[in-house]
Amino acid sequence: MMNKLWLQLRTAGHVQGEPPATDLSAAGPWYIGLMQGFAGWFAALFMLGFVASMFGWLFRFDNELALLAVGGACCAAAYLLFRTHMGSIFFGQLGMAVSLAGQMMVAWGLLDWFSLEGASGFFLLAAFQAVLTFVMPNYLHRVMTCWFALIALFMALNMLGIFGLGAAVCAVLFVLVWINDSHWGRFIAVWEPIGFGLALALVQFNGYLIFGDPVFMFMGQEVSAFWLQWSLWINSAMLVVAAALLFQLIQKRYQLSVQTRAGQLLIAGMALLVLSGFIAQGTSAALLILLVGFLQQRRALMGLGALALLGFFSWYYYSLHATLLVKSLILIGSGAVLLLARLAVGYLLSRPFKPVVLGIFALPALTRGKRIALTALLAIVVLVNFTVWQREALLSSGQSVLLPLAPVDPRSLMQGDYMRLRFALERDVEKALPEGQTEGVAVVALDANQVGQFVRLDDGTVLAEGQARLQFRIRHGDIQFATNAFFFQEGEAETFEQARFGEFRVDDAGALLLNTLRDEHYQVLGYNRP
Amino acid sequence: MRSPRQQITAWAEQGQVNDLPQALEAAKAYPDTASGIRFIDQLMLWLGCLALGAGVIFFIAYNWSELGRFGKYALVEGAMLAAGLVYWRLADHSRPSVASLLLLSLLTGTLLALTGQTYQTGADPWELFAVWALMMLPWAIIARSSVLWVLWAVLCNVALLLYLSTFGGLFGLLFDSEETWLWLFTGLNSLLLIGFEGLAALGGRIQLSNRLAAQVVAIAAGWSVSWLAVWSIVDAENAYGVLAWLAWMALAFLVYRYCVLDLLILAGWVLSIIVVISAGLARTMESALDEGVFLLISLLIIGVSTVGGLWLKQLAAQQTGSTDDE
Repeated sequence: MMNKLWLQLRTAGHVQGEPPATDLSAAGPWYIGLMQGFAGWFAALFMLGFVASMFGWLFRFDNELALLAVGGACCAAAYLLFRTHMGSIFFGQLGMAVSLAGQMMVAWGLLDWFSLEGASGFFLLAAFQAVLTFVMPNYLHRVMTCWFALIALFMALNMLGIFGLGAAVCAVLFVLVWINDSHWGRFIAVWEPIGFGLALALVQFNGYLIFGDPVFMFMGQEVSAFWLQWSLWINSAMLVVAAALLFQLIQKRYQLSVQTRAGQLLIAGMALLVLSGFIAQGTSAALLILLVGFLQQRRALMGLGALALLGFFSWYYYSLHATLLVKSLILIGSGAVLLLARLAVGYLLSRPFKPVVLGIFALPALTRGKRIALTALLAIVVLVNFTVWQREALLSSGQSVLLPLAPVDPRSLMQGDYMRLRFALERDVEKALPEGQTEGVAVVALDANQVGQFVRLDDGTVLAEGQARLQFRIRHGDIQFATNAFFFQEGEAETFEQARFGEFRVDDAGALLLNTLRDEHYQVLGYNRP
Repeated sequence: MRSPRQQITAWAEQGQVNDLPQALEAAKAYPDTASGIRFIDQLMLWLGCLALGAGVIFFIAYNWSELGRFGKYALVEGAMLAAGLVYWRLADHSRPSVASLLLLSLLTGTLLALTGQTYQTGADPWELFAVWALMMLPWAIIARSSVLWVLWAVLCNVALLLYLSTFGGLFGLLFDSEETWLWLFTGLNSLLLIGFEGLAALGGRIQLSNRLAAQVVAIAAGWSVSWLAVWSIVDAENAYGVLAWLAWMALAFLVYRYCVLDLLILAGWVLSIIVVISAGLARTMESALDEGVFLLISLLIIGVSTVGGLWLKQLAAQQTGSTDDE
């Protein structure tokens, strides 16, 4: 059965004859390569162990030259293995393991020789990795060495006091390589892995996903004065260049003139992409990868871009450059803008997207699925509100019980806007508590001032007059009555240094909530405000 | 299945194509305008919903005292009801519909966190995630989307993790070893896997559009069971870990090679074999752990990964070959 695509191409004159048989050595789905990559690393580690134990003297001082020589020899051997057995998976794996071991030795040697302080070691390492990228005829190997080369290059620049250039430069290179993918021709086996290596480096330099904060801390280097002044401009310029290149590709491919609406919308979109990078580091890179992945039909790139965007959300939470309030408003604003823009684009391009704005009160008939989903929503809201109502009722009209505070180490007393509490009752409960219990109920007797004294652990018998139950939990060896923390507003800390009692509101079963702190005269100092 | 672009470039690599850019254009290997607009539309949709949801979560986390506790509840519940309204208007099972359900799920978590934060009853953290998972279950079922199911599976795992860390040191021997944690995670994720595969097999009304949920959970279960085997090998208290691993791998092989051909899971399967065999070898030859053993293990890893890779590529070729000719 002749392949339809082949037939189509043959009719148009681009190919002749019969389609070739499926080539097994072609790179399969990405996860096969990933599995082989992991296995290669694993094997390389053991191989390095082999070399280290056989030739331990190589790794000691003043033997860098020998180490470099052996490392280089390993890489050369790997090259021979690749070359003489092209397409063989076994020799591909073997070569990769040998080469990785060799690379580790070269890296060790170079950095030992040139020290970690200067840039030259890293520059040489970057050059070495670049050579490997072009020379070694193995796809996965090329991806890795390209990535390493970029890491080494920007480490070198870091040493010279130039920080953060990596992300911008990688963005430009990444776009440059990928928009020319139809011109790779026979060299697709060289440029495609480089493209993926660039994508990985781009994500890493923007510093999130599994790497958390940017990996390359300022290792005590001074930022060069020149760079301090110009870095923002240079980085922004590069990002604009990358976006412009991408714009050019889209314009050419879809024949969009800047006079048409679509063309103008495209420019607006690209501008937004660049701007997003200023609001939150890494968004523009992730969007670039996602876009390029879509345009050049590489699902691996699209997946990487999507993951990077998700990583951005978590990173953004912890970043310190603005308060959570500002960040949340930015996010809500951006979200609203995106959703509205979606509708606007639909209108402007006259595509048939159903507008939500018009006829907002025209609700369609309920399918069974929708009915269940909306019922669930109502149930959740009702349930939560009921819980809130219950708790509020407890706080306002539950039985009031005062427990004396036990002395706490004053240094750990105030923690920002809450105060750690311990209650004298805990000791009494602890003495009476059998082994291995994780929760229970204590019974206290209330005096005239509602102060509770330990009576016994609850055993189900009816309470006498003036007694109350208090539930407690045991977590990590500590006894907790509801919570061990009292929350107050900023700046009120001093008031609560007078606190001698904690006031709880309890119900008949012993459920309790911390309500206020009282001073030695049982007067209210303040309400718990978590 | 290989895309037209992949096929054409593969042929070009073998030197069969006269003019690659022209051929790609002729075959419309690149996305056309309509799919481009669809892509942008979906991107804005998902990004917008995620940004909105995250924004509300951040806002609540900021704990703005000016707003007062009822103001915060009004905000979150208002957002939820608005999202519910939008969901009502959207076509069932379309992407916007799923996105709105995702937003609702995120807001539910926010609501629960707000409640736990405002009324400090001393409840354990795992309870939040367990209740959250329970509450979003109806939506996950109705949406028929892998994204929601993956979120749900993550919530279940987090709940288990927090439960174990709360009660970890308390029950004496029962929960105090990492090995027990691994057993429980393997069990949980395997159950989830069976659940998702069951959903896929049932088809019809509850059918999922892709295998993402099953794959994620399978990777999680495979990971735990492999660690279990390694732990059992390294600690050598008993061999139950290895036995469990053997059973799991045998079952996984039968299912994912013959019943449902899933190459992603099989790739993970090969990796698991590599890891466990290496650990086993390193352990048995522990006393003789010198240069020769290192080399041996290294070569073994290469060998297994080669055979595994070859086998997987063959399967992949079979899969594409059968669909290429359609």
